[in-house]
Amino acid sequence: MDIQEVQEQIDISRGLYSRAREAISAAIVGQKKMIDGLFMGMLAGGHVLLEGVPGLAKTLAVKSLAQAIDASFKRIQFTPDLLPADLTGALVYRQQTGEFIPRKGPVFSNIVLADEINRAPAKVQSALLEAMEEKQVTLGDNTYPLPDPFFVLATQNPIDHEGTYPLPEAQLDRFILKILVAYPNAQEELEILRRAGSGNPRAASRVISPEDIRRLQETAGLVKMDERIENYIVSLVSSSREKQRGRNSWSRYIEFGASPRATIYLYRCAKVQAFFEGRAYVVPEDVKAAAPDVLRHRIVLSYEAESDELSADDVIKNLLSAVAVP
Amino acid sequence: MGRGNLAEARRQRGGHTLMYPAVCFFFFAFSPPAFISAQARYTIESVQFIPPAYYVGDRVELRARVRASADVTVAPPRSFPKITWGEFHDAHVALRDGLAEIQIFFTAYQMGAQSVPNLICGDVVLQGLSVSVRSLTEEQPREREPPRGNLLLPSTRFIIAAGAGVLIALVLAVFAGLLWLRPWLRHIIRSCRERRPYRKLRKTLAALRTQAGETDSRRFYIFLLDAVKLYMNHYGEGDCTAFTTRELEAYFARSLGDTADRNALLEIFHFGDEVKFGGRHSPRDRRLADIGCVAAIASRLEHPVREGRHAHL
Repeated sequence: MDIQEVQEQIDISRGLYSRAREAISAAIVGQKKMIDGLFMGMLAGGHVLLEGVPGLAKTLAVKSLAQAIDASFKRIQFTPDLLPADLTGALVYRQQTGEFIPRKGPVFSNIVLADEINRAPAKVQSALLEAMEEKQVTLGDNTYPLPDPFFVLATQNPIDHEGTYPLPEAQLDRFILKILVAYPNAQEELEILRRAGSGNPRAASRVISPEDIRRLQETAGLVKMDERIENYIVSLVSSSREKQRGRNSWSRYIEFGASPRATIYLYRCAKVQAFFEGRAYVVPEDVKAAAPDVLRHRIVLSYEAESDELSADDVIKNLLSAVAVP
Repeated sequence: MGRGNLAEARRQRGGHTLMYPAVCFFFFAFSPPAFISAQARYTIESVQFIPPAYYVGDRVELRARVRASADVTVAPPRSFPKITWGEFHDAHVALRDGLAEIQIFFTAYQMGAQSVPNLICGDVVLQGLSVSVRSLTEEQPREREPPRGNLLLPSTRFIIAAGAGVLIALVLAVFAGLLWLRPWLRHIIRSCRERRPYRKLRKTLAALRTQAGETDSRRFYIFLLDAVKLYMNHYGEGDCTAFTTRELEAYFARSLGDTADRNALLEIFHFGDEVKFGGRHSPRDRRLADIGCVAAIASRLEHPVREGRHAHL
């Protein structure tokens, strides 16, 4: 498709996206970055992990997103006693017919909110692996496809680690983005206070359908990416794996770099970012804008980073400032 | 000779036993001077060792002056007796002031008083002599001295010292000269370094100008914008090559004084992004205009540097 045609397609689709975004913004005050991240994850066809202290409207944002999209939505509160079958479903014996029938779990929804995902043990978290990656669930001898679109939006709390089960790297890698949810500013907090004080919180209206989401995904996929940008993405991700101390002095802070899956996700997210900007082609800024959320949970920091009190974001910042932009 | 006479007398005594006492009487009572022993016909006037004090290992001369009658033969010993404390080397006999001078050379290897065996020098017998050999290590015990250095020709040390002095003076002179020239050298080096990115940029711009009509748009703007980034990289903080256009915007806002220049550069970068990544075509006139714009901005930035002031970038 010609770039002009892509541009026209983008201009049309952006109207749809703007409506959905406005619908969510009507329910949530501020948190622009979080809402953009949720949309980016959804349009890039991945799952999103939200991390923030309690009370930052993480759950509300996901619920509002589900409301804005006319799609099935299930919320699962992850607790230490949760079982995999509570998530995926199980085969239930039917006495009348004398056979086992599948009883599908809450994961069979378009949007699944895995609230406080790190409170469930590893086996429950692992039960999500197949669903997230393959978009299917196996019950007994049969494999059941999950509805399309399928998004897992998980939340976790960075503090209060007692009784929690940190997500294994294999599971973290399946989230396309990890979004850090920050506190609202004073003006936003005042608006939150007024809305909550009125006792009439606003709800997001249904403005787009799952079909629209698929169309938006397709449009975002049409965005052109130059060969040099592709090389830039590969350089960024692979430089997180380099251990050449002379060249990258900050590489000592990285124990394990990002996987090739990060390259794929960064590629997709950069396209979505360009779509958000209304551009039919990707520029390096799009890659840089998406990189922190894509790489944050994929870079395992070393002890040196911990002793120097450096976060993954600090290391990514160094990484972005070291790799030459095309 | 005396001993020979006695032997003959004994033989005669064996043949004529009865006549022995009478013969002996006449022989001794009326014998001529020929019967007088050789000892009586020479006297050893002096015996001296040269040097008078000698040490183990020294070559020593034993000099004996003998006054002898004409019929006494004085000759070097035919062979030297064996001695345990040293060795004899050679011997000479010479006549000096009417005296026979016997010179016997020897070396002693053993310290202390050593007796010299009888030395038969013709008819003269040197007997009852002893040597007193001294030892340096026993008499003057001291630490062994280290080996002495090579002997130098006269004035060698002076020449060496003078040469070293001249060398040091030369080095100091060069150093002082460098110190004196330092501000000028530094200025020259700095201005060369400062102008190197500019020269590089001008070279790139000149190359791009000649190829403006031939190179495709994408390739042209890749070269142009990379050259501008490299040029800017030299002046400001941070690595411009890792900056996106939006980051450059912030960078120029901080460091580029002239707003018009800043906007013009950013416009070129934005347009360049569209060409590089969006496939937009750029006509030749536009390319030449961009080259001219970049050259003019760079020239304005370089101007203060030429006057010795830093460019405000």
